[in-house]
Amino acid sequence: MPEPWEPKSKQAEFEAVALEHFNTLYSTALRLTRNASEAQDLVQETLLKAYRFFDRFEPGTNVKAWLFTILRNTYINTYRKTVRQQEQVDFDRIEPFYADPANDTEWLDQKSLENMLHHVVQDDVKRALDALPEAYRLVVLLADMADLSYKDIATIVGCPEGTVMSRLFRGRRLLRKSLQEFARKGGYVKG
Amino acid sequence: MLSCHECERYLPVFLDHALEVKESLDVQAHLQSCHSCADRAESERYLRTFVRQYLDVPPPPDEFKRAMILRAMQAERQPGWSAYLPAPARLRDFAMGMATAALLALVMYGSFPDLSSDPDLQKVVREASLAYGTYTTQHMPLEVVSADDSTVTQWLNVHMGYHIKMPCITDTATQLLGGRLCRFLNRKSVALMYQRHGVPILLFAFHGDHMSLPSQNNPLPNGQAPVHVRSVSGRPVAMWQRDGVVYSMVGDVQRDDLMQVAATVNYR
Repeated sequence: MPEPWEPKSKQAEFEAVALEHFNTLYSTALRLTRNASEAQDLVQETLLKAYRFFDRFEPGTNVKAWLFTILRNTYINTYRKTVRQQEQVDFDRIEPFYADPANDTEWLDQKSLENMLHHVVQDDVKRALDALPEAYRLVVLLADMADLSYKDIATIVGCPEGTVMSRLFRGRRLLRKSLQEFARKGGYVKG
Repeated sequence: MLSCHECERYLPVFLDHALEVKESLDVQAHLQSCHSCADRAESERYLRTFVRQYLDVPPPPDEFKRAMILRAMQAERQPGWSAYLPAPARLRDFAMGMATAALLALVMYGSFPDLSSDPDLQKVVREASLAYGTYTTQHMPLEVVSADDSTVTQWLNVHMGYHIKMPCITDTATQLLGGRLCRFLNRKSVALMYQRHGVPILLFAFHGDHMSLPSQNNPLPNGQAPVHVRSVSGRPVAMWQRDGVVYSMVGDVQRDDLMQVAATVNYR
Protein backbone atom coordinates (compact mmCIF):
# COMPACT_ATOMS: atom_id res chain seq x y z
CA MET A 1 0.00 0.00 0.00
CA PRO A 2 1.41 3.41 -0.86
CA GLU A 3 1.94 5.74 2.06
CA PRO A 4 -0.71 8.46 2.43
CA TRP A 5 0.47 12.00 1.59
CA GLU A 6 2.03 13.79 4.52
CA PRO A 7 1.24 17.53 4.44
CA LYS A 8 4.93 18.42 4.50
CA SER A 9 5.99 16.03 1.74
CA LYS A 10 3.04 17.06 -0.41
CA GLN A 11 4.06 20.69 -0.04
CA ALA A 12 7.70 20.03 -0.76
CA GLU A 13 6.91 17.90 -3.78
CA PHE A 14 4.39 20.37 -5.14
CA GLU A 15 6.78 23.26 -4.69
CA ALA A 16 9.49 21.42 -6.64
CA VAL A 17 7.08 20.53 -9.46
CA ALA A 18 5.60 24.03 -9.63
CA LEU A 19 9.02 25.68 -9.62
CA GLU A 20 10.26 23.43 -12.40
CA HIS A 21 7.41 24.34 -14.73
CA PHE A 22 6.68 27.88 -13.54
CA ASN A 23 8.54 29.73 -16.31
CA THR A 24 6.82 27.83 -19.11
CA LEU A 25 3.40 28.14 -17.47
CA TYR A 26 3.92 31.86 -16.97
CA SER A 27 5.20 32.62 -20.47
CA THR A 28 2.37 30.62 -22.06
CA ALA A 29 -0.18 32.39 -19.82
CA LEU A 30 1.29 35.75 -20.80
CA ARG A 31 1.02 34.99 -24.50
CA LEU A 32 -2.51 33.60 -24.07
CA THR A 33 -3.93 36.49 -22.05
CA ARG A 34 -1.72 39.18 -23.67
CA ASN A 35 -1.62 40.90 -20.30
CA ALA A 36 0.83 40.59 -17.39
CA SER A 37 -1.67 40.91 -14.55
CA GLU A 38 -4.13 38.49 -16.16
CA ALA A 39 -1.29 36.06 -16.81
CA GLN A 40 -0.35 36.26 -13.14
CA ASP A 41 -3.96 35.57 -12.14
CA LEU A 42 -4.18 32.66 -14.56
CA VAL A 43 -1.01 31.05 -13.21
CA GLN A 44 -2.11 31.65 -9.62
CA GLU A 45 -5.46 30.00 -10.28
CA THR A 46 -3.73 27.10 -12.06
CA LEU A 47 -1.39 26.53 -9.13
CA LEU A 48 -4.25 26.74 -6.66
CA LYS A 49 -6.23 24.07 -8.51
CA ALA A 50 -3.15 21.93 -9.10
CA TYR A 51 -2.30 21.94 -5.40
CA ARG A 52 -5.91 21.19 -4.45
CA PHE A 53 -5.91 18.10 -6.68
CA PHE A 54 -2.27 17.15 -6.29
CA ASP A 55 -3.26 14.09 -4.20
CA ARG A 56 -5.05 12.71 -7.23
CA PHE A 57 -2.11 13.16 -9.54
CA GLU A 58 -0.55 9.81 -10.36
CA PRO A 59 3.21 9.86 -9.84
CA GLY A 60 5.00 8.68 -12.95
CA THR A 61 2.52 10.26 -15.37
CA ASN A 62 3.29 13.49 -17.20
CA VAL A 63 3.02 16.29 -14.66
CA LYS A 64 3.77 18.99 -17.24
CA ALA A 65 0.86 17.95 -19.45
CA TRP A 66 -1.34 17.76 -16.33
CA LEU A 67 -0.42 21.32 -15.29
CA PHE A 68 -1.02 22.63 -18.80
CA THR A 69 -4.40 20.90 -18.95
CA ILE A 70 -5.40 22.82 -15.81
CA LEU A 71 -4.02 26.04 -17.28
CA ARG A 72 -5.85 25.54 -20.55
CA ASN A 73 -9.18 24.68 -18.85
CA THR A 74 -8.90 27.64 -16.48
CA TYR A 75 -8.13 29.93 -19.40
CA ILE A 76 -11.08 28.63 -21.45
CA ASN A 77 -13.52 28.74 -18.51
CA THR A 78 -12.48 32.06 -17.08
CA TYR A 79 -11.10 34.21 -19.86
CA ARG A 80 -12.55 32.95 -23.06
CA LYS A 81 -16.12 32.24 -21.96
CA THR A 82 -17.50 35.22 -23.77
CA VAL A 83 -15.92 34.45 -27.11
CA ARG A 84 -16.06 30.67 -26.94
CA GLN A 85 -19.40 30.54 -28.72
CA GLN A 86 -18.07 32.64 -31.57
CA GLU A 87 -15.13 30.34 -32.04
CA GLN A 88 -17.07 27.12 -32.51
CA VAL A 89 -15.66 26.88 -36.00
CA ASP A 90 -14.29 23.59 -37.15
CA PHE A 91 -10.93 24.91 -38.26
CA ASP A 92 -9.89 21.49 -39.42
CA ARG A 93 -12.42 21.63 -42.22
CA ILE A 94 -11.10 24.89 -43.57
CA GLU A 95 -8.69 24.94 -46.50
CA PRO A 96 -8.41 21.18 -47.04
CA PHE A 97 -5.95 21.70 -49.91
CA TYR A 98 -3.34 23.14 -47.59
CA ALA A 99 -3.61 20.30 -45.09
CA ASP A 100 -0.78 18.63 -46.94
CA PRO A 101 2.59 20.28 -46.21
CA ALA A 102 3.77 19.20 -49.65
CA ASN A 103 1.22 21.60 -51.15
CA ASP A 104 2.70 24.56 -49.31
CA THR A 105 4.09 26.53 -52.23
CA GLU A 106 4.75 29.73 -50.30
CA TRP A 107 7.82 28.70 -48.37
CA LEU A 108 11.01 30.72 -48.79
CA ASP A 109 14.55 29.44 -48.96
CA GLN A 110 16.61 30.27 -45.90
CA LYS A 111 18.42 33.29 -47.36
CA SER A 112 15.18 34.90 -48.53
CA LEU A 113 13.58 34.10 -45.18
CA GLU A 114 16.45 35.70 -43.25
CA ASN A 115 16.26 38.73 -45.50
CA MET A 116 12.51 38.91 -44.97
CA LEU A 117 12.70 38.52 -41.18
CA HIS A 118 15.27 41.31 -41.01
CA HIS A 119 12.34 43.67 -41.62
CA VAL A 120 10.24 42.20 -38.81
CA VAL A 121 10.29 43.60 -35.28
CA GLN A 122 9.30 41.91 -32.02
CA ASP A 123 5.89 43.59 -31.92
CA ASP A 124 5.13 42.10 -35.36
CA VAL A 125 5.72 38.56 -34.06
CA LYS A 126 3.36 39.20 -31.13
CA ARG A 127 0.74 40.68 -33.41
CA ALA A 128 1.04 37.82 -35.88
CA LEU A 129 0.57 35.32 -33.06
CA ASP A 130 -2.34 37.26 -31.59
CA ALA A 131 -4.03 37.31 -34.98
CA LEU A 132 -4.12 33.51 -35.20
CA PRO A 133 -7.48 31.81 -34.63
CA GLU A 134 -7.65 30.66 -31.01
CA ALA A 135 -7.48 26.94 -31.85
CA TYR A 136 -4.27 27.44 -33.82
CA ARG A 137 -2.71 29.90 -31.38
CA LEU A 138 -3.03 27.47 -28.48
CA VAL A 139 -1.35 24.54 -30.24
CA VAL A 140 1.42 26.76 -31.62
CA LEU A 141 2.10 28.08 -28.10
CA LEU A 142 2.01 24.62 -26.54
CA ALA A 143 4.37 23.21 -29.17
CA ASP A 144 6.76 26.08 -29.78
CA MET A 145 6.89 27.77 -26.37
CA ALA A 146 6.07 24.96 -23.94
CA ASP A 147 7.88 22.24 -25.93
CA LEU A 148 5.04 19.76 -25.48
CA SER A 149 4.71 16.67 -27.67
CA TYR A 150 1.81 16.08 -30.08
CA LYS A 151 0.49 13.46 -27.68
CA ASP A 152 0.56 15.83 -24.70
CA ILE A 153 -1.02 18.65 -26.70
CA ALA A 154 -3.76 16.26 -27.86
CA THR A 155 -4.49 15.39 -24.21
CA ILE A 156 -4.46 19.03 -23.13
CA VAL A 157 -6.63 20.31 -25.98
CA GLY A 158 -8.84 17.22 -26.08
CA CYS A 159 -8.51 16.28 -29.74
CA PRO A 160 -6.75 13.59 -31.80
CA GLU A 161 -3.02 13.87 -32.51
CA GLY A 162 -3.73 14.22 -36.24
CA THR A 163 -5.81 17.33 -35.52
CA VAL A 164 -2.97 18.76 -33.44
CA MET A 165 -0.56 18.19 -36.33
CA SER A 166 -2.79 19.86 -38.91
CA ARG A 167 -3.59 22.81 -36.61
CA LEU A 168 0.07 23.25 -35.89
CA PHE A 169 0.96 23.17 -39.56
CA ARG A 170 -1.75 25.66 -40.49
CA GLY A 171 -1.03 27.89 -37.50
CA ARG A 172 2.67 28.12 -38.38
CA ARG A 173 1.84 28.74 -42.03
CA LEU A 174 -0.53 31.60 -41.11
CA LEU A 175 2.13 32.98 -38.78
CA ARG A 176 4.67 32.99 -41.61
CA LYS A 177 2.21 34.69 -43.95
CA SER A 178 1.50 37.41 -41.37
CA LEU A 179 5.22 37.96 -40.82
CA GLN A 180 5.72 38.24 -44.57
CA GLU A 181 3.00 40.87 -44.64
CA PHE A 182 4.61 42.82 -41.77
CA ALA A 183 7.98 42.54 -43.50
CA ARG A 184 6.49 43.90 -46.72
CA LYS A 185 5.11 46.90 -44.79
CA GLY A 186 8.51 47.32 -43.16
CA GLY A 187 10.19 47.66 -46.54
CA TYR A 188 10.90 44.06 -47.58
CA VAL A 189 10.78 43.49 -51.30
CA LYS A 190 10.46 39.88 -52.38
CA GLY A 191 13.52 38.94 -54.40
CA MET B 1 14.61 6.37 -50.76
CA LEU B 2 11.97 9.01 -50.11
CA SER B 3 10.69 11.25 -52.87
CA CYS B 4 10.76 15.05 -52.35
CA HIS B 5 6.97 15.02 -52.01
CA GLU B 6 7.14 12.43 -49.24
CA CYS B 7 9.96 14.30 -47.53
CA GLU B 8 7.98 17.54 -47.54
CA ARG B 9 5.05 15.75 -45.91
CA TYR B 10 7.25 14.34 -43.18
CA LEU B 11 9.30 17.48 -42.64
CA PRO B 12 7.15 19.38 -40.04
CA VAL B 13 6.85 16.23 -37.93
CA PHE B 14 10.55 15.46 -38.38
CA LEU B 15 11.45 18.95 -37.14
CA ASP B 16 9.17 18.43 -34.13
CA HIS B 17 11.14 15.22 -33.36
CA ALA B 18 7.94 13.23 -33.56
CA LEU B 19 8.68 10.81 -36.41
CA GLU B 20 9.22 7.11 -35.84
CA VAL B 21 12.84 6.00 -36.03
CA LYS B 22 12.62 4.50 -39.53
CA GLU B 23 10.89 7.53 -41.09
CA SER B 24 13.25 9.84 -39.28
CA LEU B 25 16.28 8.04 -40.75
CA ASP B 26 14.65 8.11 -44.22
CA VAL B 27 14.16 11.89 -43.97
CA GLN B 28 17.74 12.39 -42.78
CA ALA B 29 19.05 10.36 -45.70
CA HIS B 30 16.92 12.37 -48.16
CA LEU B 31 18.04 15.71 -46.69
CA GLN B 32 21.68 14.72 -47.12
CA SER B 33 21.20 14.09 -50.81
CA CYS B 34 18.60 16.73 -51.77
CA HIS B 35 19.73 20.35 -51.64
CA SER B 36 16.24 21.77 -52.17
CA CYS B 37 14.62 19.82 -49.30
CA ALA B 38 17.61 20.52 -47.04
CA ASP B 39 17.17 24.24 -47.68
CA ARG B 40 13.49 23.97 -46.92
CA ALA B 41 14.27 22.18 -43.66
CA GLU B 42 16.78 24.88 -42.68
CA SER B 43 14.27 27.59 -43.54
CA GLU B 44 11.58 25.96 -41.36
CA ARG B 45 14.03 25.51 -38.51
CA TYR B 46 15.16 29.13 -38.77
CA LEU B 47 11.58 30.45 -38.67
CA ARG B 48 10.76 28.43 -35.55
CA THR B 49 13.90 29.61 -33.78
CA PHE B 50 13.16 33.20 -34.77
CA VAL B 51 9.57 33.11 -33.49
CA ARG B 52 10.55 31.35 -30.28
CA GLN B 53 13.32 33.83 -29.62
CA TYR B 54 11.01 36.81 -30.15
CA LEU B 55 8.21 35.37 -28.02
CA ASP B 56 10.52 34.39 -25.21
CA VAL B 57 9.58 35.93 -21.88
CA PRO B 58 12.28 36.71 -19.30
CA PRO B 59 11.74 34.40 -16.31
CA PRO B 60 10.23 36.12 -13.27
CA PRO B 61 12.41 36.40 -10.14
CA ASP B 62 12.56 33.35 -7.85
CA GLU B 63 10.93 35.27 -4.97
CA PHE B 64 7.96 36.04 -7.21
CA LYS B 65 7.55 32.38 -8.14
CA ARG B 66 7.92 31.12 -4.58
CA ALA B 67 5.41 33.70 -3.31
CA MET B 68 2.80 32.55 -5.84
CA ILE B 69 3.38 28.87 -5.10
CA LEU B 70 3.17 29.54 -1.35
CA ARG B 71 -0.05 31.52 -1.86
CA ALA B 72 -1.57 28.57 -3.75
CA MET B 73 -0.69 26.17 -0.93
CA GLN B 74 -1.88 28.50 1.82
CA ALA B 75 -5.17 29.17 0.05
CA GLU B 76 -5.80 25.44 0.08
CA ARG B 77 -5.05 25.06 3.79
CA GLN B 78 -7.09 28.03 4.99
CA PRO B 79 -9.68 28.93 2.41
CA GLY B 80 -11.27 32.28 3.12
CA TRP B 81 -14.54 33.26 1.48
CA SER B 82 -12.70 35.07 -1.26
CA ALA B 83 -10.80 31.94 -2.24
CA TYR B 84 -14.01 30.54 -3.68
CA LEU B 85 -14.19 33.35 -6.18
CA PRO B 86 -11.90 32.98 -9.18
CA ALA B 87 -9.06 35.44 -8.73
CA PRO B 88 -9.16 36.75 -12.31
CA ALA B 89 -12.84 37.58 -11.96
CA ARG B 90 -12.19 39.59 -8.78
CA LEU B 91 -9.34 41.50 -10.38
CA ARG B 92 -11.27 42.05 -13.57
CA ASP B 93 -14.27 43.39 -11.66
CA PHE B 94 -11.95 45.72 -9.81
CA ALA B 95 -10.33 46.82 -13.08
CA MET B 96 -13.75 47.35 -14.68
CA GLY B 97 -14.81 49.42 -11.69
CA MET B 98 -11.68 51.52 -11.90
CA ALA B 99 -12.09 51.96 -15.65
CA THR B 100 -15.71 53.09 -15.22
CA ALA B 101 -14.69 55.53 -12.48
CA ALA B 102 -11.91 56.87 -14.69
CA LEU B 103 -14.31 57.28 -17.61
CA LEU B 104 -16.81 59.11 -15.39
CA ALA B 105 -14.05 61.37 -14.13
CA LEU B 106 -13.04 62.10 -17.71
CA VAL B 107 -16.60 62.90 -18.71
CA MET B 108 -17.01 65.16 -15.68
CA TYR B 109 -13.67 66.90 -15.84
CA GLY B 110 -12.82 66.54 -19.49
CA SER B 111 -9.13 65.87 -19.00
CA PHE B 112 -8.47 64.64 -22.56
CA PRO B 113 -6.62 67.35 -24.45
CA ASP B 114 -8.34 68.93 -27.38
CA LEU B 115 -6.17 67.80 -30.23
CA SER B 116 -8.79 67.73 -32.91
CA SER B 117 -7.14 70.68 -34.62
CA ASP B 118 -3.98 68.66 -35.33
CA PRO B 119 -4.47 65.03 -36.35
CA ASP B 120 -0.73 64.17 -36.49
CA LEU B 121 -0.12 65.46 -32.96
CA GLN B 122 -3.20 63.62 -31.81
CA LYS B 123 -2.01 60.34 -33.30
CA VAL B 124 1.49 60.61 -31.83
CA VAL B 125 0.19 61.55 -28.37
CA ARG B 126 -2.27 58.67 -28.22
CA GLU B 127 0.16 56.11 -29.62
CA ALA B 128 2.95 57.20 -27.26
CA SER B 129 0.72 57.07 -24.20
CA LEU B 130 -0.71 53.68 -25.22
CA ALA B 131 2.76 52.32 -25.92
CA TYR B 132 3.99 53.59 -22.56
CA GLY B 133 1.11 51.83 -20.79
CA THR B 134 1.89 48.60 -22.62
CA TYR B 135 5.64 48.79 -22.01
CA THR B 136 5.31 49.49 -18.32
CA THR B 137 2.60 46.94 -17.51
CA GLN B 138 3.71 44.06 -19.70
CA HIS B 139 6.97 42.28 -20.07
CA MET B 140 8.47 43.96 -23.13
CA PRO B 141 12.05 42.76 -23.22
CA LEU B 142 14.72 45.11 -24.50
CA GLU B 143 16.65 43.85 -27.53
CA VAL B 144 19.78 45.72 -26.55
CA VAL B 145 20.54 46.25 -22.87
CA SER B 146 23.18 48.82 -22.06
CA ALA B 147 23.60 52.14 -20.28
CA ASP B 148 26.06 53.18 -22.95
CA ASP B 149 24.61 55.46 -25.64
CA SER B 150 27.05 54.45 -28.34
CA THR B 151 26.46 50.70 -27.83
CA VAL B 152 22.69 51.10 -28.03
CA THR B 153 22.88 53.52 -30.94
CA GLN B 154 25.17 51.21 -32.87
CA TRP B 155 22.88 48.23 -32.34
CA LEU B 156 19.78 50.16 -33.35
CA ASN B 157 21.43 51.62 -36.46
CA VAL B 158 22.43 48.15 -37.62
CA HIS B 159 18.96 46.69 -37.08
CA MET B 160 16.84 49.68 -38.11
CA GLY B 161 17.53 49.06 -41.80
CA TYR B 162 17.84 52.79 -42.58
CA HIS B 163 19.72 55.60 -40.95
CA ILE B 164 18.20 58.11 -38.59
CA LYS B 165 19.86 60.46 -36.15
CA MET B 166 19.67 58.55 -32.88
CA PRO B 167 18.61 60.67 -29.90
CA CYS B 168 20.74 60.58 -26.73
CA ILE B 169 19.61 62.12 -23.47
CA THR B 170 22.41 63.84 -21.61
CA ASP B 171 20.45 64.71 -18.46
CA THR B 172 22.49 63.12 -15.65
CA ALA B 173 19.44 62.06 -13.62
CA THR B 174 18.11 60.05 -16.57
CA GLN B 175 19.72 56.65 -17.05
CA LEU B 176 19.61 54.70 -20.29
CA LEU B 177 18.47 51.08 -19.85
CA GLY B 178 18.49 49.95 -23.48
CA GLY B 179 16.35 49.86 -26.57
CA ARG B 180 14.37 47.83 -29.03
CA LEU B 181 12.66 48.15 -32.38
CA CYS B 182 8.91 48.46 -32.49
CA ARG B 183 6.11 49.64 -34.73
CA PHE B 184 4.86 53.13 -33.93
CA LEU B 185 1.90 54.36 -35.97
CA ASN B 186 2.63 51.38 -38.20
CA ARG B 187 6.17 52.66 -38.89
CA LYS B 188 9.35 50.88 -37.96
CA SER B 189 10.59 52.80 -34.97
CA VAL B 190 13.30 52.93 -32.35
CA ALA B 191 12.19 52.74 -28.71
CA LEU B 192 14.72 53.81 -26.10
CA MET B 193 14.00 53.04 -22.47
CA TYR B 194 15.29 55.30 -19.72
CA GLN B 195 14.74 55.61 -16.01
CA ARG B 196 14.57 58.85 -14.04
CA HIS B 197 14.34 58.57 -10.27
CA GLY B 198 12.90 55.07 -10.72
CA VAL B 199 10.24 56.15 -13.24
CA PRO B 200 10.47 54.74 -16.80
CA ILE B 201 10.74 57.21 -19.67
CA LEU B 202 10.36 56.10 -23.27
CA LEU B 203 11.70 57.87 -26.31
CA PHE B 204 10.51 56.86 -29.78
CA ALA B 205 12.10 57.91 -33.06
CA PHE B 206 10.78 57.15 -36.54
CA HIS B 207 10.63 58.56 -40.05
CA GLY B 208 7.76 61.01 -40.13
CA ASP B 209 6.99 60.71 -43.85
CA HIS B 210 3.88 62.73 -44.69
CA MET B 211 3.72 63.81 -41.08
CA SER B 212 4.09 67.36 -40.06
CA LEU B 213 4.05 68.69 -36.52
CA PRO B 214 3.16 72.39 -36.33
CA SER B 215 6.04 74.78 -35.72
CA GLN B 216 4.68 76.56 -32.72
CA ASN B 217 5.00 76.89 -28.96
CA ASN B 218 7.70 75.90 -26.47
CA PRO B 219 10.87 76.37 -28.55
CA LEU B 220 13.96 74.97 -26.91
CA PRO B 221 16.39 77.53 -25.52
CA ASN B 222 19.26 76.26 -27.71
CA GLY B 223 17.32 76.85 -30.88
CA GLN B 224 16.44 73.21 -31.55
CA ALA B 225 13.17 72.06 -33.06
CA PRO B 226 10.04 73.24 -31.22
CA VAL B 227 8.78 70.76 -28.67
CA HIS B 228 5.07 70.15 -28.29
CA VAL B 229 3.80 68.78 -25.02
CA ARG B 230 0.36 67.32 -24.48
CA SER B 231 -1.08 65.25 -21.66
CA VAL B 232 -3.28 62.18 -21.73
CA SER B 233 -4.92 61.59 -18.33
CA GLY B 234 -2.10 63.46 -16.63
CA ARG B 235 0.70 61.67 -18.52
CA PRO B 236 2.78 64.16 -20.54
CA VAL B 237 3.96 63.36 -24.05
CA ALA B 238 6.62 65.54 -25.71
CA MET B 239 7.08 65.54 -29.51
CA TRP B 240 9.34 67.25 -31.95
CA GLN B 241 10.47 66.82 -35.52
CA ARG B 242 14.02 67.16 -36.81
CA ASP B 243 15.35 66.38 -40.29
CA GLY B 244 12.20 64.44 -41.15
CA VAL B 245 12.40 62.26 -38.04
CA VAL B 246 9.66 62.45 -35.41
CA TYR B 247 10.77 62.04 -31.78
CA SER B 248 8.27 61.37 -29.04
CA MET B 249 9.07 61.15 -25.33
CA VAL B 250 6.64 59.95 -22.69
CA GLY B 251 6.79 59.16 -18.98
CA ASP B 252 4.80 59.35 -15.78
CA VAL B 253 6.72 62.43 -14.65
CA GLN B 254 5.90 66.11 -14.26
CA ARG B 255 5.38 67.99 -17.52
CA ASP B 256 8.22 70.41 -16.69
CA ASP B 257 10.57 67.53 -15.90
CA LEU B 258 9.83 65.93 -19.27
CA MET B 259 10.50 69.25 -21.01
CA GLN B 260 13.74 69.56 -19.08
CA VAL B 261 14.84 66.09 -20.19
CA ALA B 262 13.80 66.80 -23.81
CA ALA B 263 16.00 69.90 -23.77
CA THR B 264 19.09 67.73 -23.13
CA VAL B 265 18.70 65.49 -26.19
CA ASN B 266 21.70 65.26 -28.49
CA TYR B 267 21.87 63.38 -31.78
CA ARG B 268 24.34 60.79 -33.04
